[in-house]
Amino acid sequence: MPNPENADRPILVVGPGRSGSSWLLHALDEHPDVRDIIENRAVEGLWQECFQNFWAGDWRWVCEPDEAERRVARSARDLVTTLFPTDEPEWVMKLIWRGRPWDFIRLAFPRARYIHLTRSPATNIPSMMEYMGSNNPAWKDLAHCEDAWCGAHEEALALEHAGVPYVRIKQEDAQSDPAAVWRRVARFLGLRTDGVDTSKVGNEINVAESTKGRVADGRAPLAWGMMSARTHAVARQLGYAITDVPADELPTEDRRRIAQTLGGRDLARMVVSKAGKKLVGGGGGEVRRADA
Amino acid sequence: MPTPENVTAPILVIGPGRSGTSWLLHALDEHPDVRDVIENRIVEGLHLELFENWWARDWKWVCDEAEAQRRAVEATRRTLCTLFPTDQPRWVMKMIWRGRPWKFVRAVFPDAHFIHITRSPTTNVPSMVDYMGRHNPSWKNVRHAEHEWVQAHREALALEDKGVPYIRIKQEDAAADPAGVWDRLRTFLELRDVPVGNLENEINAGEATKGQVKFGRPEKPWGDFTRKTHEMSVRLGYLPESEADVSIESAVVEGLTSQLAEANAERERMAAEIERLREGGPDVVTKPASPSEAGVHREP
Repeated sequence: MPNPENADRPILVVGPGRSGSSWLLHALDEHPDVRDIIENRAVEGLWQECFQNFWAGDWRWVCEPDEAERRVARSARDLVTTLFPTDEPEWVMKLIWRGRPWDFIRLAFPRARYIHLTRSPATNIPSMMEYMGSNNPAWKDLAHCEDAWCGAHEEALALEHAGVPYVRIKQEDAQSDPAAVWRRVARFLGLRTDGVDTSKVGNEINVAESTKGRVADGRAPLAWGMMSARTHAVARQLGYAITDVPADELPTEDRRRIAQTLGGRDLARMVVSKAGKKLVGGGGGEVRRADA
Repeated sequence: MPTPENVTAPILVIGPGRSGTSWLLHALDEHPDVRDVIENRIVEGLHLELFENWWARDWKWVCDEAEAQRRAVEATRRTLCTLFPTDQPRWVMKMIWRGRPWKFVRAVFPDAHFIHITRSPTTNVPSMVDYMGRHNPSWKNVRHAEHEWVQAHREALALEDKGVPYIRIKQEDAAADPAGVWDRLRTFLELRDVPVGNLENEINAGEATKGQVKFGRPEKPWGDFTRKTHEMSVRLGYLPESEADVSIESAVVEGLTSQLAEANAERERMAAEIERLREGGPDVVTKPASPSEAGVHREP
């Protein structure tokens, strides 16, 4: 956790949620030199309060805009050190999902290191629909999840392009070989590995109900044909091969209708399994398998 | 503005807006020992973020509730000192309107002095409708403005009931005798007696009263207000208790009388219309609304 010496150099985990970010925080927290901070919105909350609320226009009565930004950035560091104080030399915090004020975050944490976690939308999006959708119906909507997935990755990729210290990790790699991924992360962060217990890096953390105890086997993927061209484009950028139905094989309207018609459980049942069976849109909201 | 030495002891201006709060801040800022902080929502914003946002339940993984509260208090003070630093020994900030987390406010500022500024609803509410309504249509609704007025005063009076250092100032007194009100404030705040200028300046006046604040704004009749507003006005000394109910009853009687007069007028108009029909006058239908209606005529 932060202290005045390291407040400006957190390890920030970016990208969409449901992609192994809890596993990563847990693994990092096991290292004796690192402490994790609970997922929070304190920094954005402060930024929003100071620059988005009705009174933000009145900064002009206080100081120049640059100075206002500097003061708020200093306050953001004060905030994390006051709320989550500790003595460990490194601290890690999730800044997952999207809509973060990245310019401000870079100002507040100029020496931050970014770990961008990725996971194929074919499994990441069903996980969002199941896990997030269990508490918030908006997440049961495929289009909403796709938008969140794309938006989070687009923002994370923009950070990479900005040239900040950045590493990209595939959840699939962490799933199949957690120890190897852990070594990559440690190398990127310059963490010592000698004598560090890594026996727990293979643990399942924060797993959705339907995959508990079976994370290593993976989740039944959503057919690529169900997803939008934007999702395909982002997935390609992240190095995920589009393997089954091309996007244009299903009319957009059908895809949307299917997504809206199916609930989370039905969707999980109906979407094509790993074997890559195809879905095609039928009339009247029905969904058939091509091989049925 | 706050420093680590005085951050726990602000002068906080409370009550509804459009009641002379900007004048008060301006007057205090004229004193060499006091600086005003721009109106802001830092304290509430942080409280909301740290205790009301979805992640607040996870404090349990960090520390116990009392420690979380202590850290939030400390973080709020540090934030204010970092955002608005200065060297003046005293600082003043508006905490007007309603819905403030007062318990948290008192924890952050245990040595605060509270100035509760009041103004009769007969002019305060029209000023809200006029000034706030320019940008936000919901404020054009008199009932909304009244509700805000009542709630803000309720919260301010609850602070008085808690026994905090508190003074109540009437905007009407400040408009009529700003120097007299200033003396009261200075004594309450134990500020040294130095000449303070510009007390008679108009600050943030509504469009309708610019240049004539001291003459006051045309008053909205008491009968236009709800019982809750009357009750609060009695408590604040704007309406004698004996007149509160009378005013409401008068309004009810006035309203019913007016409705009765309208009903009588309508009855007379209809009676005249019936009379014309019976007599077979030529203009049974004077303004046909449709071709079929236009064809209506009296059989010979």
